[in-house]
Amino acid sequence: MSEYRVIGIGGNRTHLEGYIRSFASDPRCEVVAIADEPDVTTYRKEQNQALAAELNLPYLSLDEALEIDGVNIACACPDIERRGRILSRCFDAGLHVYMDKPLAGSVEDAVQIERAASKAGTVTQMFSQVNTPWAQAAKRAILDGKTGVVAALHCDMLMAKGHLSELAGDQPRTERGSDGKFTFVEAKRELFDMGVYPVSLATWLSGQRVREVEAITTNYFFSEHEQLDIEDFGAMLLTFEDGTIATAMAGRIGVHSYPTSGQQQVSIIGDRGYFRFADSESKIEVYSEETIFSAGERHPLDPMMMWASTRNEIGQTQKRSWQSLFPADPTADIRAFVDCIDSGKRPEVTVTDAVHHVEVIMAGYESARTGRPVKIS
Amino acid sequence: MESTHVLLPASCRRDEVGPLELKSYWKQLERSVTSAIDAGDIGVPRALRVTLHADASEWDTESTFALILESANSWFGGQPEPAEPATGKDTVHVAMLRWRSGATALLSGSTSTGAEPSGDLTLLGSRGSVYHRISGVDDL
Repeated sequence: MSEYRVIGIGGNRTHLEGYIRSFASDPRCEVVAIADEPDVTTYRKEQNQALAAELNLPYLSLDEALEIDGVNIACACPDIERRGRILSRCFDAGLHVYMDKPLAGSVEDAVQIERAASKAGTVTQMFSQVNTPWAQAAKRAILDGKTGVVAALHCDMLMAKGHLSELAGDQPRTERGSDGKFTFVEAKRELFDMGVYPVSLATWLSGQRVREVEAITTNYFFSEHEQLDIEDFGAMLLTFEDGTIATAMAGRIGVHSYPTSGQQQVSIIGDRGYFRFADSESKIEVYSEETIFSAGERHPLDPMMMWASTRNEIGQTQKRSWQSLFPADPTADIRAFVDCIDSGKRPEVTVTDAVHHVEVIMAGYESARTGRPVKIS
Repeated sequence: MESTHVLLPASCRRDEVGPLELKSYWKQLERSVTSAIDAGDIGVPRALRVTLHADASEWDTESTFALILESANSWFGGQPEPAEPATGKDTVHVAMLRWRSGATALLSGSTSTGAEPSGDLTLLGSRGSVYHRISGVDDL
């Protein structure tokens, strides 16, 4: 029997598609079931059952899964709106929890999760970029003094997926703030979904809390987002406790707008100069008569190309024009989580960090709505 | 609709960009980006990120910032509104700006003693994007 028994909460067309396979590839772990609440939508239930079938696992109710003998890890990717109660239940059952990003759709839900985690005293980690080679290199440069005193951090997460499309209107988008709804089949709110990457990266690199947030969400790139009246792009200006500045660009920019899955980078301005760390920066470049990349047709249920399962359905191939010399290991973040359970070491991004990320992003929505900076207490 | 990414030819390599030539280098970059926009390569410009770092013995942060703001105004057509003042510490000026069209920019001008000109540019349009690096990247 493996050291850890893992349940996955969610299914296809959630990040569980990738995370749970990473757990399955770790010899210390045995994935024992896919689970969710019994009253999920038919669409969600079918996607969950499909993933369970692909992995030859039982699909159970959350109650049944939590009662499996010896289960001690939950990999939790339920819909954003259900995370407060589901993650709290996992902690109440005494599980270590690997959490999808962002933690929750409101500060209240995030705090509820943190309280349950604190009571359980188990290990928590939220998915982020901090275990990638380029983020680790950036952290080392700061800690080793190579950058000198940091004055500014500039972080980008621009996802090159989805087919850019003609917009119905030509007016700037008007932000209405967060209404707590983040789950849509065809698109996501990207200040939230992509914005959590630069927010988590900048706070991890600085080791500080953000005290003030400004944000703009006036752009549209995709008709799908325009029709849903949700943002596909956002910019943020963050001020940390000591006055250090961070900026973040986050969103979706179109599948043909970058040679890899997206621009992921951080530039550090220190008193010793400018330092840039980026995914795929050290690379070979391949140009050929052969078809290097095929985007595939628009999938009606995943036009933003969010999920590996639907990208496979439309025959999309891997982008291979830029091939990194130091490719990120897709299992690294989950391996680091299991390492922390083994060693008792604190994960790099815990539930407490994740609560702050939600605070920052929600302050960002409020700033974008009002046009004013928003302070975080 | 197909979108495109435009990797501008690095006509000036890092070792060819001295502090005194930064302004002429930048203006050439501005012309190249304008040419890509005018050719319709990226559709309508919608978001810009520029980080420009220069030698403190040749440039001050205000001048570095002003250089990139001028380019942003050129690509987006007019002044941002409201024209937010830049913020940051002595050695870096950072601003998040928006234009009447909704176009957004994050601009950062900074200096340090003895620095080689360096930085990066990302311009996102409705049909594609322009990228440019002014220097190499640190070793992983």
